[in-house]
Amino acid sequence: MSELGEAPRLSCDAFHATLGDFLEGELADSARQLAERHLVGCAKCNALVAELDHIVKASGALPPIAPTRDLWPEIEQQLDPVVVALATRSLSPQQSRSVSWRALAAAAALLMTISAGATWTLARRAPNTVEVPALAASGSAGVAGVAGVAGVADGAGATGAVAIRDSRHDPVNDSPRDAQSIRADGPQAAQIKLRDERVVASIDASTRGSATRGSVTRAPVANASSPTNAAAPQLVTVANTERMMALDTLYGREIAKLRTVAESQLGMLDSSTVNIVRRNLDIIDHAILESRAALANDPNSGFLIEQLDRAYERKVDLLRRLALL
Amino acid sequence: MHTLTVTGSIPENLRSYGKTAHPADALAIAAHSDAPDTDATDITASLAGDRRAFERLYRKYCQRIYALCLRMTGERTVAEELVQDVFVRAWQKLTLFRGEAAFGTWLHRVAVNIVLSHRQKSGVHKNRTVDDEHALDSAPARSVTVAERVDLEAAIAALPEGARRIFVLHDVEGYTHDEIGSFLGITSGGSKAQLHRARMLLREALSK
Repeated sequence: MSELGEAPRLSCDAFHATLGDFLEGELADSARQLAERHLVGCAKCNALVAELDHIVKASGALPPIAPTRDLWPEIEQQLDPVVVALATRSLSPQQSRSVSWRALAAAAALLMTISAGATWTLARRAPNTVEVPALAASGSAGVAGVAGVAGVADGAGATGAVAIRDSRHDPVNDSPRDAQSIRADGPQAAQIKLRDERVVASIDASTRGSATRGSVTRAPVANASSPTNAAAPQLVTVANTERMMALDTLYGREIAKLRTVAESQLGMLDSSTVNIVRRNLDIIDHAILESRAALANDPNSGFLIEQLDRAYERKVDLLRRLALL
Repeated sequence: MHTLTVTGSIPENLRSYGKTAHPADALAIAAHSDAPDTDATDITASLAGDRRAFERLYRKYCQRIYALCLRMTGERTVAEELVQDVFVRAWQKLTLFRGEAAFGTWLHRVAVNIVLSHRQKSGVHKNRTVDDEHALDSAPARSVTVAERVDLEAAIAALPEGARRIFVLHDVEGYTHDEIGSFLGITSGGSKAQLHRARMLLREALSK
């Protein structure tokens, strides 16, 4: 023992036992005083602390590191994501189906549970909450009424010949309440098969419509070709309304493209699988709908916009898996 | 001349340990000190689809992000792939950037999530808790390799994965134990224990 001084209270072993907390500054005053007293008298432990201190400080000052090559060209190529990387097919169709749908069903159920719970809780806090009736899990009509939200129509007989349909979005009726009323009109009114361009056009119309009603003014957006002309940006004023529109656009395009591929894949599946797909899409669409409804009541919630983003991600993921079958 | 403003809160470990700057916050500081409006201008332009603006953001932050990815993974090739993923993801998710924190801080979080997500997808480990335990168990064996190294980067790279991740996140990137616990799904206490172990392993390696 190398302790010196009047009355060292700690042994080296005892000091080592508290060293982590000591370095983190998380010891209570009395314990810290004991440790400090030990350090005064113990050269060995003092050196240990000095070495660790040096490591921590040196680590915190580590400089940035340049990649060995310029990664930007590869990044830029990916900025418009490939919707379906057909080259990534690796499983046989049977393998894909047997693995994918179970996972998708579980993921969708989890998503529904989390999303429904969170949005319900948040929506309850807000005034004028729009009640969105729970979606029957019996495979009834797909949820519709919001841009980029696609439902899968009922399978047409045992052949499984189905069409993935998209809800036509009325730019004037894109509030959650309106979406609800569209749903109430049933699938015939809400589910209209759309081509890709039409979906995008619908979303564009939606975003324009929303923009005019948004309570927060978007900061001037730079011209893509001449960013220097941009007015002083004020990111803090970008509202969730804008983010929601951007998500609609981002995912709407991808969903529209994927749908074309997925539509052809559905025809090759049996009716039970089609039903599973349909239910999963319904669940996800319901999550999207609920997130949007909650956002209407709590437009500044970062949590809700992330919920919406996650729901869209799930949908794209599901359609992508379907397209890859 | 710009006034340096730390936009994030000073992590507990730095407050208590007397460090003057937090790397992640330093990133934010750098972003502001270079030109306070530059990021915002480029972000706004990027939101409008201006790739050149986004490229400027990439140029500005790529070295920091690459350093994070490299130190977290210890593999240069993987780190370069992850950097690509980070910026592609950031492009896609730029609408979610609320401007409440510095862009560099937000980007760092995106990077951490992607690095950790990659680790999960790669299937190297199926259970985080078990993995961490194994990482500690393997430390002595790894320290033999570490003993051959002399510089800190090499020593960090040679740490067991679990310890390395926590060390990098805490001591290099400046995240708190609570934040790390949230990232990794472990307790704050578990993070502290791993950190202390990592530091001791580094000391051992660097002293040889």
